[in-house]
Amino acid sequence: MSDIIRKSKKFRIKNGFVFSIDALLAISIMLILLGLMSFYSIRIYPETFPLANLQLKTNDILILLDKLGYFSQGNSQAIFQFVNKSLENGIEWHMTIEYYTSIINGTNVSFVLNKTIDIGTNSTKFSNSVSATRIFTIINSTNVSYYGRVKLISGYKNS
Amino acid sequence: MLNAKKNNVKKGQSNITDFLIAVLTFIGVFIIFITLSDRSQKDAFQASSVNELTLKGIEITESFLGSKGIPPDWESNPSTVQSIGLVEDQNNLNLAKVIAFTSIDYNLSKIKIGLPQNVNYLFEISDLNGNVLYKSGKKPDSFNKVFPFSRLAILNNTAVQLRLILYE
Repeated sequence: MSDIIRKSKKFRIKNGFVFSIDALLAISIMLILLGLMSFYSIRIYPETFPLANLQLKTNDILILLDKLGYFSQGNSQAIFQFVNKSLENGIEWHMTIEYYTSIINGTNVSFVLNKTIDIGTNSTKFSNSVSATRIFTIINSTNVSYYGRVKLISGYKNS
Repeated sequence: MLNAKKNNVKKGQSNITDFLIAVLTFIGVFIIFITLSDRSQKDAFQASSVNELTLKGIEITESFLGSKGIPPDWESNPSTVQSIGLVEDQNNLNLAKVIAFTSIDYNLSKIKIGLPQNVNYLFEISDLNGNVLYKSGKKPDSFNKVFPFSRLAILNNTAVQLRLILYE
């Protein structure tokens, strides 16, 4: 009889131990999930604001460079200074300008890449970035001499 | 027999301790959950107000730099303006429209650009060195949140910075 009680006691202790680990695991998983839930609910929204602002400014820079004739001059130093002055400190950028000449052969039009200008920092170093693209034409004495495509990527420094 | 009785007493105690721990854990987790969900609700509310004002600021600056306004010659009679636009063409500011907007009554301008009662604004046009050329609106004495919007435009063939700051 005492043997049976001893065996069942042993069994109960082991049983209890298994249940405790189970409960501890469940509680820790739940606490981790609750922690993650609160962490993400706080972080998601406010971070969208600076990027939205940067996107608008990046678009504006391309419009201004085009309208003020920077692309037709093709002076990379002047473009570099203008973009640097327009963006706040702590923002890195990279710009690629491609100039194409067109060849018209009957009804076929093909574009040949004439030159490319690369200015700014390597865009892989940005942590959060936005980009804008613009197509422009350069007209010299009533003839279109170049078609161009420009892409500007701007973003925050990767810390 | 005596042993069995002893075991029963112990079993009862362990069950009560177990139960107490379970109840305390449950209450603890429940309180954490309520606190977190309340905080999440507050965050969501704040985020929606942040998003609303972010969109409002973007909408206003887009209207300023993307349209002539309604009617297109509203600057000749600013009190009749339905929608304020400040440009001749995309991002190219019209000086007469800028002067008309900066001279318009503050409360009327707030209504025309569609700002809620509790939101104030400060509008500035400055050169790229930061010298303010035109300014209107006001910075309130106290506010909870600030939303600055900075855009680039052309005024008299020169690049200028247009800043709109919303205060809630």
